[in-house]
Amino acid sequence: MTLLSKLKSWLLKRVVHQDSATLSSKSIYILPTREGLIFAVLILVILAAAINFNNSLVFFFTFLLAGIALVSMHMTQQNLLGLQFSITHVKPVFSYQTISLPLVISQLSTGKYFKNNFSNYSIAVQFSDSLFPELVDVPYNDKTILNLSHATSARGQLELLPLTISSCYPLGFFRAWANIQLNSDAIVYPAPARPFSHKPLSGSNNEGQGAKGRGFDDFSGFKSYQPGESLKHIHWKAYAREQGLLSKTFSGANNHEYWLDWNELSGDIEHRLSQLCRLIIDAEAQGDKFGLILPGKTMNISQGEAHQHQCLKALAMYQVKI
Amino acid sequence: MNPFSQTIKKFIYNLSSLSFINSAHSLLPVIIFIILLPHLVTISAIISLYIIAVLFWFTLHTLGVIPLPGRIIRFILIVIALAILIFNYGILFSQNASLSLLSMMVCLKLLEVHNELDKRNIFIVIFLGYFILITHFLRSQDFILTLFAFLNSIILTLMLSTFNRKPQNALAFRDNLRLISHLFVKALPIAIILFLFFPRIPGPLWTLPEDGLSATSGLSDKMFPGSVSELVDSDEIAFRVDFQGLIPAAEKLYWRGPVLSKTDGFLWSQKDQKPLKKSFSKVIKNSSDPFSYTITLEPHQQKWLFALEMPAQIQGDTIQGFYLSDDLQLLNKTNIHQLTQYHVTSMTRFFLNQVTKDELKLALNFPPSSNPKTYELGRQWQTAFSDHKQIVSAGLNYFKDKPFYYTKRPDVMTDNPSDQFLFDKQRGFCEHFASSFVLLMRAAGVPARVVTGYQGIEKNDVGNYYIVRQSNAHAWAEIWLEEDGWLRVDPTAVIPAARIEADIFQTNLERLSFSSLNLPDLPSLSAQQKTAVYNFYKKLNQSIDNIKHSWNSWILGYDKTKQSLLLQLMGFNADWQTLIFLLIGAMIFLVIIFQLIQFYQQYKKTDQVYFHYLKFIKKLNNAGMSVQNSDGPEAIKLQASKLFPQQSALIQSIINNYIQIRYASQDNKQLINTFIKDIQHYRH
Repeated sequence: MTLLSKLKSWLLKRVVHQDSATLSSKSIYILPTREGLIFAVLILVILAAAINFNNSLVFFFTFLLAGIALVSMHMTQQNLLGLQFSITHVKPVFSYQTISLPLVISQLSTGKYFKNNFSNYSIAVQFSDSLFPELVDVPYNDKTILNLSHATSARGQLELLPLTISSCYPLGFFRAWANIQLNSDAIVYPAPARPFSHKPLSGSNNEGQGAKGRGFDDFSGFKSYQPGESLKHIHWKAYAREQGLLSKTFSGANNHEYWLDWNELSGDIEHRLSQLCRLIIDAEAQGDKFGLILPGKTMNISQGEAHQHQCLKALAMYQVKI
Repeated sequence: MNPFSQTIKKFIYNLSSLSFINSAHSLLPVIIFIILLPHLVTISAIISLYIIAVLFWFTLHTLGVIPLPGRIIRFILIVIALAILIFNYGILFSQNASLSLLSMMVCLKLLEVHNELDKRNIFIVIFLGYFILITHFLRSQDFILTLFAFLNSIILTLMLSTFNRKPQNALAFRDNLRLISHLFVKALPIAIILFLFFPRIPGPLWTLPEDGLSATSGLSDKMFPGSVSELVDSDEIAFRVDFQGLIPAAEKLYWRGPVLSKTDGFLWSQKDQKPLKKSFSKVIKNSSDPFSYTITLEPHQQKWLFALEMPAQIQGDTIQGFYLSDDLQLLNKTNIHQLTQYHVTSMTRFFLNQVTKDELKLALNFPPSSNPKTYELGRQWQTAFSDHKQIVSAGLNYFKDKPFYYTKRPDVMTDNPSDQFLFDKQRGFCEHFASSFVLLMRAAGVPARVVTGYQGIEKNDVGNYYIVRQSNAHAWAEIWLEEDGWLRVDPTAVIPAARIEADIFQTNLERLSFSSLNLPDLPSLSAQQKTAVYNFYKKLNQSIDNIKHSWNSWILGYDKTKQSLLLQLMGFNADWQTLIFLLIGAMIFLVIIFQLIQFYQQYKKTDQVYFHYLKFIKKLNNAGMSVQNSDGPEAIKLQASKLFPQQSALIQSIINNYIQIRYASQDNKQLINTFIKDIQHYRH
């Protein structure tokens, strides 16, 4: 491990968790790049030539190049200074799916940083373990949303890796970077199990019907598609109009009401959770009313997207150390 | 609108948006070509062709016509480049050869740039571009060239920023330009401070072998008086002179150059020059009438340093190892490749007693079997006069009394040129007079030699300095008298004005006639108007030259001496500790200035009303209130008045004013001022 990568990993360990990170001059590090070092050598060579030929103009241009390099160092640092980062409104995904994290990058003109009123160009954003950064411009006094993809593994609240924000702009002689660790509300649901037959516990006003018998006839409206729902219900015409994936909902089985109970399932924790996940998705897709019973936690019978999210979140957070 | 103008319009639109370029790296060959242009016109044609061909190849590649050469073809191209180089310059690694090599290498490096993401190679090409820009200054330090290099360095920096800008977008070029101009505005003062205060270490660290750069001087170290049929009349400047104090009289304005003592009767040349062994004070005796002046010598690719006869003191940073040769010529150790400034004190009355046996022998050498008539005349004088002084007078009188004419267009005299000139043609210029006179003296037993140099000066009224042009080139004689030492004798000067042909009497500036200005003859103008036009052009020319001279003296001539002078003017000691202190101090000063400017710009932009409103809320919060961001001014007013009843009047006034300004859009200056003042006075 080289000294530089040692330094970088040491700096990564010092990152503090924040909801929203603003880059201050304290948190920005700057080092010359390889190109910058070559340029420095070039300046030294030209300086030697200037001394040798005692040539005033060569002297002047040597100093001009040195001045350019110096100012570019300042500009590279300024390119990051005052940028604000936060990740909000993350759409939950199921385990092992790729999550899309909307990173909001804004530059505040009324901040305490006295900087020239330039936009911030070519800001490279990458998770500390990824090799290729996403590059983005942040207009002056405005914000940009950059969608970062992140692979997920285990369910629960998504633990983000530190982000490295860097920039070599304008001349590439210096690389300024800062490490930030953002908290996010990203939730990873358990992966849904394969569809399986299950006879749920009837709800309070249950009329004895099973989950299978539901109406497909009475169309009631659209809702946004959730992974796991039947592809038959997708409103493809809307998708073709670029309105996103919509799923048709059907009423007719609205009288289905039941409890999804942890204790009725078998297997280890993760298996049961993924089975419950499957059941919740199916129930919501069918427009059933359902409640969830987890050891130590009960979600009342209800329906709708928010309810589904609450239930899935309860699954995701089940026995997760926070 | 016709289709033609539409096309033009479209072209201009494309040009402004730079959308015709699919990627920035296709601009590189054009930029490299422009940067190399000053070299291309000076280096040999085959190298220029090679460079243009390689650049053209790359351009075709960016247009998608042909692929880039592979490894093998690139290798072949390198071999060809080296072959051309050796063919042109041999294996000697001279300055010209290395510049040509550099130029070819940057083009070959360009061929390795596969796409605009190939950052490493693009960087190297751009870095070499900077380097090539700077090498131009080794040849010329012209103001125009400096401007050229400066603009190109901006373009190169712009290219750098373009390649570092990702993602690219349509406006990227404009943004980059804005940023780069900002960068240069900040980099320039840094460069100026470093230029002024960076310790100047005297060079040279190494020397490259001398090039066969052609001499640009009107003078030469050889003279063929008979072979010239027309004196080239060049207005080019040899050097400029700033006198400190008095200006010498016209008859003393002889600027000593090469001394030609060897001859075969046809060709005159210098003898092998050795540095003078004796100290100068022993050579020059009873010297008086000193004149001090600074010479700014244009590069002439020779070792000569010109000075008024006879130089007693000389100093200058850019000349290293100058010395006085044993024929009393001031010489630099190396050839003068660039503008050189030096300070001289000359004694215009002097007595030179320096002579060695060899030198006397050489100065008496009349080449046998040449110019028999000249020799005969000299012998006659030797027998007729016992005194050497009388022989010299006889020689001068000969030119004065016989019908000798001064002309710039003499006939060619190749067969015993001196005989032809003295007894046949009798028309010639200074070289004919001087060489024939010297031969006559030698025949008569008086040691004599030809001295070349410049004679006269021309005043620049605008800048109050003097110019010596190539057309001032002159040749005169130097004779040795036992009791007086070496004496200057100018046989051309004895020719009466009536026998001087045409425009010789005109001063150099007057020779700037309408034809040389490329102006029509303007026959419609009266003589008076012509004079007015002429005077205007004279003034204009002098002003332009004055700018050049100032540039030469203050920018190009800024050296250790001038640096010390500047430090002394600022009241510092001229040592390196002071320089380092000044450098750091000036840099800190610059940073503070930059920050202040930025602060001011920021301050101008911030909304003063809102800024002070926030300040007011902060004051309230400090006093124990807890104002939320979501609280409106009315709510704050109510809460604050309740919490601080003794201040309520002021609070009410402040917030009412704020509401007035903000929501009733009262743009009343007075109201705003009261609002700000109230907040500033608000205390608990």
